[in-house]
Amino acid sequence: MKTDEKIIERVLAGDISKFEMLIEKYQTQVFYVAMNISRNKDTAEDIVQDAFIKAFDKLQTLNERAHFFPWLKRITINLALNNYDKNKRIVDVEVEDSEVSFFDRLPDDSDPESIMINDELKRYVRLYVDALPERLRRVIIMREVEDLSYEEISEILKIPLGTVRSRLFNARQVVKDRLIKQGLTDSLVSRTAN
Amino acid sequence: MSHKVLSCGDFVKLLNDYVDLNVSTKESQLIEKHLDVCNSCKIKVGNAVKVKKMIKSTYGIGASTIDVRSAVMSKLRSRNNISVGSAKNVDLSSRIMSKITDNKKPVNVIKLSLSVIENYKVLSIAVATLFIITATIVYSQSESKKLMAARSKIESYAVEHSSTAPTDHRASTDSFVDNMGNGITSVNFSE
Repeated sequence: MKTDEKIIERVLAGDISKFEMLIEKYQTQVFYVAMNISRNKDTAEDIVQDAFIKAFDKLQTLNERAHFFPWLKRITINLALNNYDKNKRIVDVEVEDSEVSFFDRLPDDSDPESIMINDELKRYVRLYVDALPERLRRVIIMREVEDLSYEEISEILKIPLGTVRSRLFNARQVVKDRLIKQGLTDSLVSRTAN
Repeated sequence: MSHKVLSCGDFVKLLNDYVDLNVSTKESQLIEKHLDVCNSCKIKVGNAVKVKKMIKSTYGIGASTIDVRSAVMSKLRSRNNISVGSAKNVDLSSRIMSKITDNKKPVNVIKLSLSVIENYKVLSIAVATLFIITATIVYSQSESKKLMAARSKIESYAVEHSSTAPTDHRASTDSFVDNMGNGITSVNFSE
């Protein structure tokens, strides 16, 4: 397989058909990036399309061509965040440590014992992360899932570094406490240790 | 710092940075020293790492797939209006050539119109200069006429006054008072 640098070189030389190779290579990954922020499959698909088109338009400005994917990922995150902000209907006004509101927003769920333990863990983790206030959820997704540094998160979300730290701390604390209260942490440790 | 011993409170403040590998070598050594002797903090690190891993695996790439290749490529092609493959060069060259041919006319027209403007510019500057010169001459002539008239008036006045000044002094004063009187007819003198 050709490297990203060579593909980009060809695209910039005028052979736009080569751009399809980049789409094929990264579309699934950026789809999940978009999905994790937008939480909607159709929206995520639109965002992915827009991200690739924007990447094509700005390809000339990419100095380090070997870093195409991290660059594309940032484009996708920015588009997803803008899209979410544009479409959100409920303004998040809750206090970050508001444990009551966090539990209130948890949807009713079926009996945890009725599903397999690993799926159950993932399901609960998703439930707890998705129930976080949006500003906490964004930070934890960007850090844990997208592996962005504190500095990158600060830059993308336009918030101070200290705010990134405190939001991440609060988000992790809430998710962890909830898992402990559900008695899932021990099983989590033993599962992942294997 | 190197001799400092971490308390559990200090450790908790560094826990996030530690699991995110955001600590310095010194801080890392201090933390590891603390973890050697503190089992509860060791459990906290274990839990934090496991939660991190679980979140990553939960939100990682799953079974869902998409294929946006054709959608994106068709948008790019229609927008750029460029076809792909061997026909591309033919299409592109003919399009460029047609653009070059089409563009010739406007360039000539622009050049022509620019030269016309250049010609008019010179002409208009000449007309404006002529107008300014004429206006200046007319103005200076009218001014000199006015000056001459004023001078002759002054001279006649001077001649007139030099001959009548001693005898008419009183009369001129009276006429001045009369004139003033006309202006203050409404003043009440009863008080």
